Amino acid sequence: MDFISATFVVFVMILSAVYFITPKKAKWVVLLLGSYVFYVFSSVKLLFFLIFTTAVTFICGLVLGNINEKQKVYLKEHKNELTREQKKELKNRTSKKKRWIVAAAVLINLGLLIFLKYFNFIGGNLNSLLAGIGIEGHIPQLNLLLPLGISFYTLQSIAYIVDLYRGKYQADRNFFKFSLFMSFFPQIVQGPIARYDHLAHQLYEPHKFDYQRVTQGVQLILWGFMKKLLLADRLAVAVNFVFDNPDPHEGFVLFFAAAGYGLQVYADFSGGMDVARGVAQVLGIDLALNFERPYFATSIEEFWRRWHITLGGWMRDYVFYPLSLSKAFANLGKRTRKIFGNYIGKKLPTFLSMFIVFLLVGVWHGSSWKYVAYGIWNGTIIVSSILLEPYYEKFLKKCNINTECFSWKFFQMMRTFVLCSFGRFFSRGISCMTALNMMKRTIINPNPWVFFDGSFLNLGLDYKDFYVIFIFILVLLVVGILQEKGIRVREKIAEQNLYFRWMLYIAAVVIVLIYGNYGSGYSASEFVYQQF
Amino acid sequence: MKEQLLSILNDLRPDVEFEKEEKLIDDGVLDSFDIVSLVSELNSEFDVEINVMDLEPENFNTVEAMLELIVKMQEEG
Amino acid sequence: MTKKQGLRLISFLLVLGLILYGLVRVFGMPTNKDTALGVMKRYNDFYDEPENTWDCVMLGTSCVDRQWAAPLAWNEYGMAVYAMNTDVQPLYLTTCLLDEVRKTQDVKLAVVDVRGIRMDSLRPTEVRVRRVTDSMRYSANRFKTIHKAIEFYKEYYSRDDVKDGQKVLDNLDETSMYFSFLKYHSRWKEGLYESDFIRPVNDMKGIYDPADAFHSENVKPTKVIPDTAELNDLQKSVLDEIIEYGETTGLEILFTSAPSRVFEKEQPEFNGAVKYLEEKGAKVINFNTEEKYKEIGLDFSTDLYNAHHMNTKGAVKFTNYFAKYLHENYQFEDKRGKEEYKEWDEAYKRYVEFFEQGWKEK
Repeated sequence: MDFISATFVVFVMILSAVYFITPKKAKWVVLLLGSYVFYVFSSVKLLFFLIFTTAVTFICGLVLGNINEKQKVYLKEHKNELTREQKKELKNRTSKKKRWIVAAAVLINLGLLIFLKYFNFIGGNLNSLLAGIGIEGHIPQLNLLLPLGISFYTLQSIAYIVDLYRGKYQADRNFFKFSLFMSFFPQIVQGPIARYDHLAHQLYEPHKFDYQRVTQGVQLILWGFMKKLLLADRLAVAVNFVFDNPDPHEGFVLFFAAAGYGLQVYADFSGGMDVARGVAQVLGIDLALNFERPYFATSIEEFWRRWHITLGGWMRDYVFYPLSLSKAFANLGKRTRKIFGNYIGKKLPTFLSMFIVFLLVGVWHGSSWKYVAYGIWNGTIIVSSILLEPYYEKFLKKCNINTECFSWKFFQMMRTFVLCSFGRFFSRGISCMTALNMMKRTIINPNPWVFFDGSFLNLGLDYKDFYVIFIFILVLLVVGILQEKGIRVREKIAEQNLYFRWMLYIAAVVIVLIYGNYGSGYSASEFVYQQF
Repeated sequence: MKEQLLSILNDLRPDVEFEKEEKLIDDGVLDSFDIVSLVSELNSEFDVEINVMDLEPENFNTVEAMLELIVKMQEEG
Repeated sequence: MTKKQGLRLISFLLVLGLILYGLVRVFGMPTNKDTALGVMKRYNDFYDEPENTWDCVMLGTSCVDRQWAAPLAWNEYGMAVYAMNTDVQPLYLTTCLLDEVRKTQDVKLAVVDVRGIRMDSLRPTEVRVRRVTDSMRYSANRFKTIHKAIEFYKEYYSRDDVKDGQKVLDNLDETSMYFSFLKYHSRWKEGLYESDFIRPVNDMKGIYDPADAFHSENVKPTKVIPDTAELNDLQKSVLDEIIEYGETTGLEILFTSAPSRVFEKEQPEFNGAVKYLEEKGAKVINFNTEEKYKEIGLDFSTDLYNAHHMNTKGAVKFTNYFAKYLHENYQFEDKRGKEEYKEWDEAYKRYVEFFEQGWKEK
């Protein structure tokens, strides 16, 4: 079941109605059943994988929870008898025990994800590697289907396990409630990647119908539909047109396609998030924010902090921090400091772990070399910008450039936009080589004449489509500026008169229905009289 | 101890007025790079073992919170 | 939720629903193009007709309304015979259309033209189907009709004898067949017209009224040949279904093959259909014989506006002939002078003026 569809709207309406009339105690059951109905609608065959991961995570969680409890009780009982050393010793011993459980859970869950998602990629590459040294590789290519949302719920399960290892909270003792946490339908398809301590209790608590919250949720859903149908799906037409056959295009058309793809993904993904968060809000649940106007970022590093925030947060807490603060990396730091001096040497281990994070994020997007390249692209820009910062600042001072004004900030935003857009060649290009080739042709032959000779109208969109795109981007921009200034747009709307609000809602629905890019489309030529 | 902490912080980010900030993490004043450098500095300067599970925003949002964390770690050993 | 909020919500939904209803009506089949406007007017008029006032309905392809001037037959014999054809009307949807008509009109006879029996005419395209289904009001029967069309679409293009020769069309966007707004909302680009906002209605009982109705083309007369082609199973099943419909409902059905220039390559299939229907014991008139041409008085040099379609001159001749036939064979009650048929009198007056004006302007 697609988020942006009439079926989903009907599904949500029925589910919320049932949810609000169900007695308090059973409300969470409605969410659980609804989530599984949603999952079954999308892929009934692969339901097993979700249940399997849920069960493994739940059981390992229980074991970890029990170990934590035992240690706590023991420490409390023997509070005064134990020396500091003994306490430390005890903690170390339980930590070791817990590590085995964590390793098992992560290996099973992550292993499943890696197997399903990357087996063919790894196998194929190994085969060609073997062929390179004259051996015929025999790793078969399997026909593997990826269960819906596996990339998301796997990360969610690992976070839960690791948090339990760290003793952040208590383990869940109700399998069915935990299943709801793992399968909650608004966020199973594409996130946000939830944290147990933030989401679970919200799911289990009953929520009453709250008029204000429901209207705000519906507004958010509508906003998501607008992003997706007015902008994302419309841009997609031209983006696909160029990327499917990039050879005849050059210069700014290629850049337009890459930048357009970035905007498309933004509108698509953040629109989907708006729908997810809106639906959850109707039900009284707050999902984590996943996008914070990334195109207002003044550096790539900031861009990735504003883009897919829950994935970044996950990587930070479960990859970046543990790696950077590990003993191995500390030792590495000592050594690099000796070789490269204090400034760079101190930062090198951090850079390494950050590079690993970007590679992981890249590969997480898909099993292809181009995603590896995408990760390297972003990682390299960030590292070099930090390394070059002192020189850059000197340069700015010498040139007498004021960095505390709007125009400089605007320049930084545009710079970030251009760099990000170039990165999109990797994530959308058919392969790594095509992406590099397109980048090259963009720079070598910018061909600014395409702005005047109507080239953009040959990409499957007519000028009316471009009007819609342009106007909606303008709307996004205005809303974005307001939000950057700390104005809560939906609260402002709630302050307006009833009639104005109604007109706004109706206008939004009508605009989505008419100007949305959906359906088979009508072309006048079809109806020209077709012979007897 | 506070002076020591402030001097570390000012070395790390001379552009921030630490004593005035209340949401160093939540507002994104300190990013994850800063945190990593900060933690390794604190660990060596104060002889504590702040590790990953202590990297919660509430422990680093203000100078006071950081001090509290350090004291707590020193007590626990 | 307080009571006030509940009321507010309900009234909001009502307003929204009303606006959406209007939206769906406006973004319908485009009536500025092609013959869709004529079809729409004719179908809208059908839905406006008082219940149980028709004697007979005519179905078939575009030749039917080009050759039938209902007001003339009314004026002559007081019979109410209405043409519900659409251009290249899918013959396999005939029974659905009969159901639609019989919801409100207890017709005694259905005249079904079989010019749509050729495999080429049966070839389902979105537009051919849409002329029928987009003109129909939302109802269970409309959904049934669309479902049937989609099924036929699939069956037709999976046939071996089709696959070889013809280009198989892309898959239909089925949902948009049911909910046509999904397709037509994108008409905002092409522009909307008066007829999208004000419901167009035919006020001459289904007369074909575009300018070409007053155009004469010197068409080569049909060279009648006796060759007969055996119908294939698909064509037979289409005819069988209509015959069976007549038998189970008790509705009398008269098959015709409309008169016009018929090319030699087209005749065998028509002849085959006539032969098959006769074998089945169905009533059928083939108007494409030298004898019938003479009886009607058809003049190929003046009575057609192109090879396949009669102009108004031809229509007058054919209506005179066929109305007489219907009058003699089916004894429809003469309803002239009855209060509920006043519209038919007005339609006749309008038609006379329309006819004279049209040829004068020529």
